[in-house]
Amino acid sequence: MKIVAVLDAKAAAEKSVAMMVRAALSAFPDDFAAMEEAKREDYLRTLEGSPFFRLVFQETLVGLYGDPAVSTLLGYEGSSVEHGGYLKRGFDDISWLPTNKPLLK
Amino acid sequence: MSGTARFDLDDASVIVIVGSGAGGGTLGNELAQKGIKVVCLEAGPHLTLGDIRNDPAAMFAKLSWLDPRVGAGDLDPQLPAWICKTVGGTTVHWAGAALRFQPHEWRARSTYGEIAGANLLDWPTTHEEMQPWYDRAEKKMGVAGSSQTGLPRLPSNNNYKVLAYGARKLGYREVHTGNMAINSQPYDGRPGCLQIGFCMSGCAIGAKWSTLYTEVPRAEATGHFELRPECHAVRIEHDAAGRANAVVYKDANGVDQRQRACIVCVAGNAIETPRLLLLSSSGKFRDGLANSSGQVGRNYMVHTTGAAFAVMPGEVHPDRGTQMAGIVMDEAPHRKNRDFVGGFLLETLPPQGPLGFARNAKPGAWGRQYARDIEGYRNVAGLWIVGEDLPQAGNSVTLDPKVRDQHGLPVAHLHRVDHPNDATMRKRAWEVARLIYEAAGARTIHTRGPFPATHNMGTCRQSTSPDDGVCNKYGQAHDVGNLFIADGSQFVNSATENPTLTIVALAIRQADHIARRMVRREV
Repeated sequence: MKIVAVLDAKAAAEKSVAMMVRAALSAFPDDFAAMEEAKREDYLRTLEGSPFFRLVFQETLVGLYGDPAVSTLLGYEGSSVEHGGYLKRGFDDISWLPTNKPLLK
Repeated sequence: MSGTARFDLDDASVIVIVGSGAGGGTLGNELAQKGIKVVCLEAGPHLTLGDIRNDPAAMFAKLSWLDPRVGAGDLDPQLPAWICKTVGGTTVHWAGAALRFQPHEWRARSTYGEIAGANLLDWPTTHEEMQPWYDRAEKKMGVAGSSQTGLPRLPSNNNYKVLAYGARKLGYREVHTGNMAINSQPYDGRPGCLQIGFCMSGCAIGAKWSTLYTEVPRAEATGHFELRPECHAVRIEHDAAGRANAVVYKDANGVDQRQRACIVCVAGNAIETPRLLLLSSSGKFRDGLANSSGQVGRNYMVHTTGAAFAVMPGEVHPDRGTQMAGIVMDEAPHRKNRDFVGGFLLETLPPQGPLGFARNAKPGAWGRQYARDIEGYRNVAGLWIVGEDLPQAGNSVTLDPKVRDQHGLPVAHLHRVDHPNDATMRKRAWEVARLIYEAAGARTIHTRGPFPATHNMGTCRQSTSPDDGVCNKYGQAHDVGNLFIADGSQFVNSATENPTLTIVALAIRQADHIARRMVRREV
């Protein structure tokens, strides 16, 4: 995982980060990985304000959604000027919306 | 650029303009077209269309004013405002909404009455007086939907269609793709919009009006205009009589230069303009240049803003197409029966990628449900709220007592808190946004507060009396007859509308005023 690698690098570069991460991880419940998703989220909510959580949150946000492979997967189409924009490539192709008739005249 | 002029630093017959954006770029071109000599100092670098990329993060780094500033009150402490430091100023980044003020907005004090905590005033300028200047601004900028250009409005993109469907279902009627300074067809030597998206990263084909590739090169072609990029004005000097006579600036190498001038016009956006006046204090002007009223830096306004992002039941692809070409105007008028004065607009705003959505839809949010919303990115629709915010004397731009910039000068300290009217209006606007997206079938809706301020106004306001403001209705400083304010700092109230068209209209009028006075040797 790229995000884990980023956190590892930060921990390797800064001793205080390494200590913080180690302390936070050692406090995790032993069966955390085996818990169901909702339970894991409940546990993480208890850490929300901590520096450890904020670090992992920021790196995950940027590392996950800022990764071009991920954002492409989620439907972000990126730069368009080299393709001539969307004028002929679906800027107005919405299909599920009912027709736009004003209810009031 | 064979026509580009070069003026001597000791040439005291030039007008020095600080800033090359909507105010400074327009004013400079208008003056140069009349044969008046102009030196335009721009703090930022000179990019070209070839430098524009469809990459919001990269362009943010390239275009934005990232010198330190301090935010206080409700503002982001690190990045209180998002404006540009580049030739063309914030017209490189702006989204293109070009709306006229409503008639009552020139008379805010008379219309809204006395409101506790608000420093309201009527403009010395009237609605009627401004219409011909708005005509000229719309024609210059190629506004789609204006009778001055004959350009039709832009076509409807997906994000707009969601907004329009929901809004019309609620009974809103003034719903369309906006009056946009983006070519709906080729106009004035620039191409029609290709629905590229990424307008706020700079328009890569120049379909959106920006002084970078309209006013500035045209001014240069007259042979009367010299642009000096990467030249950061740090002080305006004056003679013994109190008339401005030079501008000191740091050149690209950080070396002090001093350009003499017959007139000085300041258009550094409503943050850097008051900062420059405050930095120019002297024995004669102890509280800052042109500040006998004490109003320099006060009444800092940013509009009452916020946003809403909705996950819809089908694909929207919100980044496709013109970002802000979609508007609901029905809530813009002032109505006596509401619990706030003034009005607000809803304008389309895409989330700019899954990271942008994750960060901005609900800042700090996480968890299963939020992750699912982000995973529904292709289904997201979004809008921006922009409404009048009330001028307050305590909302201000001052010199920070501690933080200094790369030149060792005190940076701008921005302080802004909501007036209760702003908070009430934003709450109502969020409700309306929710109702609209619910009417269109939204699965989840996130509302959020302001982004770093893009509309900065009011810090050197116009006034009839020299006691109430910094400049007269032409932007001419009350205290210094040959000093002009040429940007949104002049605004007396923010009005509801995005400010650029009004800044341009005021700049065209100011150029006309200066030229007349020069002929009559009055300035």
